[in-house]
Amino acid sequence: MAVMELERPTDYLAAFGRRKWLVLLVTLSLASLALLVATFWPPIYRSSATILIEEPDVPSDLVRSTVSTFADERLQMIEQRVMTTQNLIGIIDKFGLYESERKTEPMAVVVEDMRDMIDLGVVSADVNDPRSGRTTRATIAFTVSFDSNAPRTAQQVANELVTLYLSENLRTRQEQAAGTTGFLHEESSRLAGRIEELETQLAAFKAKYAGSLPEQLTINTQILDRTQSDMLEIRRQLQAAQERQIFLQAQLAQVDPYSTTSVTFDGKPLLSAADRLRALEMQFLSISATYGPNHPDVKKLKREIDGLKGAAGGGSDAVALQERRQAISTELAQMQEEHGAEHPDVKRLQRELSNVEAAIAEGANSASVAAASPERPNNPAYIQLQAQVNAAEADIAALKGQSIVVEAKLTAIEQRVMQTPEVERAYLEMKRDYDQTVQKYQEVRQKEGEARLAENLEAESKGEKFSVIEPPALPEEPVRPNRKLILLVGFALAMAAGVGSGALADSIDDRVYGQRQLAGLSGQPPLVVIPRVRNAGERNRVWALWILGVLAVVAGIVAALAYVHFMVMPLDVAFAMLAERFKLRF
Amino acid sequence: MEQLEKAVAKARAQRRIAQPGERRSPGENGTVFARATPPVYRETPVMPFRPAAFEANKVVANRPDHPVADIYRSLRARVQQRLLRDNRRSLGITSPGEGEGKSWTAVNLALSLALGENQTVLLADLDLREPVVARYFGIEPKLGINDYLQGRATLPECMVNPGIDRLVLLPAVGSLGNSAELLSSPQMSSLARELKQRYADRIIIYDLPPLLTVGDTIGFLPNVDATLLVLRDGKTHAGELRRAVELLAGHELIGTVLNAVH
Repeated sequence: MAVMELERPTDYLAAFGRRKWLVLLVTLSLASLALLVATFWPPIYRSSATILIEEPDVPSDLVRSTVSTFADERLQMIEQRVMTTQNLIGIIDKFGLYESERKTEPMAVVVEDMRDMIDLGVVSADVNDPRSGRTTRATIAFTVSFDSNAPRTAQQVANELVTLYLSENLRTRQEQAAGTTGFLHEESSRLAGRIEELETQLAAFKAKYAGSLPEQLTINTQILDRTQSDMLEIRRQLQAAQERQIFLQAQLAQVDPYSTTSVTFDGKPLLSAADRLRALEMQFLSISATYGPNHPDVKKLKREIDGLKGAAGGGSDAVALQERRQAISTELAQMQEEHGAEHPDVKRLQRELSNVEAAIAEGANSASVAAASPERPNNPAYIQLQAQVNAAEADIAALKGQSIVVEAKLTAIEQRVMQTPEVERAYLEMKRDYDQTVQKYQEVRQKEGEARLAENLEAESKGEKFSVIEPPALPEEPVRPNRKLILLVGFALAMAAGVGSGALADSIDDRVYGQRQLAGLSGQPPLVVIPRVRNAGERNRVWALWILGVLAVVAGIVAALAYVHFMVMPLDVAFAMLAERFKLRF
Repeated sequence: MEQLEKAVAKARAQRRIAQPGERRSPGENGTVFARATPPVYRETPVMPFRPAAFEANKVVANRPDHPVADIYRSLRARVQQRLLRDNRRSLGITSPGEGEGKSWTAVNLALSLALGENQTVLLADLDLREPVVARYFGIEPKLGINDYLQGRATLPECMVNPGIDRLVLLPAVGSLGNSAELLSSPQMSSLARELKQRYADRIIIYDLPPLLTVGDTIGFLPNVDATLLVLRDGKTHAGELRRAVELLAGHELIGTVLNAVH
């Protein structure tokens, strides 16, 4: 700590006097360091290009680009894509950059160095947005620059970078547009597939619920009405037929089936075939008893009986056969008792019996029904009535069949109509789904068309594009370092550091300097203040030191110049180089 | 200049030789104060100083035209005034540390006082470890204060006149490592008393060892009437100064001298 605060200007002067050597040393050494840095810092050249971001050729009202990001944003994106390590390594290899660094540093470090040398600047302008009417800042152009210690390299690399930026922009935009189109296309085909699926479902549904579909409801209702009236009609007819039948049957019951009152056209009573046969057979029995079998009357009767037998059916035959068998078996039993089993009549009877039995068996097979009705009615009125009854019965049977059919139909239709609301709900749901999908599909198709148009726009570079308005030039003057500024700042810093170090040294020095500090500490001013006394020898030594010092400095400067002149480069060249570096004009 | 000084010294030497019988004892010598003529040291051997030694050691108080001599004359006036006002006659000159110029100040002050009017001065070198007073004058005395203290010589035998009127030196010869013990010894006290009593009007200046580095300096302080603290500019630390001032507080510190200011 300083013994006392410095208060007066003279205190500062005294303090400076005390520390002048330290201050000088620090200042001079830092200043010479600054001079060295300013002189030997290698020059850096910058080559830069200006690239204009052009508005689309086709107005956005006509074809809206699907690349909707802002220019700034896209620039950033492109920068990231351009500045990939791979790209930069490609450039480094192509132009053989950073040869010395690549020998000692890993590639990642070299690439990082290179990245620092690339600069992307954005040129913005206040733009009046016609839509919102507000003034916004928009990026209208950008600059790409590369710094290198060789002007040619700077230009080449800047050129390469510009190319990369342009192609990357084009590629990015096209990719984006193609991506949009691809997505929309995929979406539309997906929707198309969905529509197909829905259509299949709908068709299957319609097939399954055919007739119950809501649009068939009116028809179904009409059919139902008609069928119901049909049904009523059938019932009514049926009832009529039944009534008629009952009536006819009642009539029939009053009529005798075997009418005797009926006569033929010649006045003879009209006989049925069976009655006539019986009558003829009685007559035959009596005639045959009178006449021989060859008698014409007998023969006539015989023929008539045979004819009638054919007309009356096997019924009477079967009865006759039964009776005959009865008779034969009785006769046979009688004969066997009388004559024994070996008697020819017995044998003949046995044969006859088996014949008759065979005939019976045959007759039972062929006409067992005829045997049930012992006799046919022969009253014509009865028969007519009977026929009418039969007709009525047939009518009833037909109407009943018809009624069953109609009833089934009615039930089916009723079921369909009842099912209709439920089917309608499911159907509407499916239909809605289908309609929506179709609508969406149409929208997507439309968008896809627009996107395809936009893609074409990008493909033909009619969208927003980059155009180089100022290609990278070969730099003539280095952009860095600003040697004069380095010198100025360096000198200023050196002086500040010198003064600072002096101040620091004085502040941490707690020794007593000057009579004011002494007075402050001891309570009274010194009686006398005696300056330093030097004798002649000391004075001479001081002089000698000064002279030696100046000589040494001069000799050092001369030696340095000589070294530069003979070992590095001639002094005039060195001077010219310095003048060039510091941009001094003579 | 040098030639002149040599001439003066030669003249004085001749005078000393010419007046060998004027030796006097202190007892018969009344007050020297009122005497106009310079005192004659019959019993004190004269060893003329070497001007070259003054030059080498930068002793300048005897040079009339030197600015520092003027400063010493100013200091002389202040010291005389302070001492005579309180009837004090011995002054101890010390400093907090080594090499701050106390011996140089003591020599210059003694010289300045002696060269002034009517003031006899005795300069005693009590920095027994590193006695320098004799060297400042360029003389090599055979006996010193250490011989007296060790009983090898009487006090008058140890004194020497450097060839300057009204100035007597009591040098130390050689180095004594144990000066601390000697300074606080009763012998030293009696020496101080004797010196004071012997010449009533004489100012006795003690060149003391450093106050803070030699422990015994403080032990001698009761034997002096006043003290003067010498500091070298930019050498003494603040703490040292404070301590020195504290230590000297009870010993009539008449002031400080700031030495070797840039």
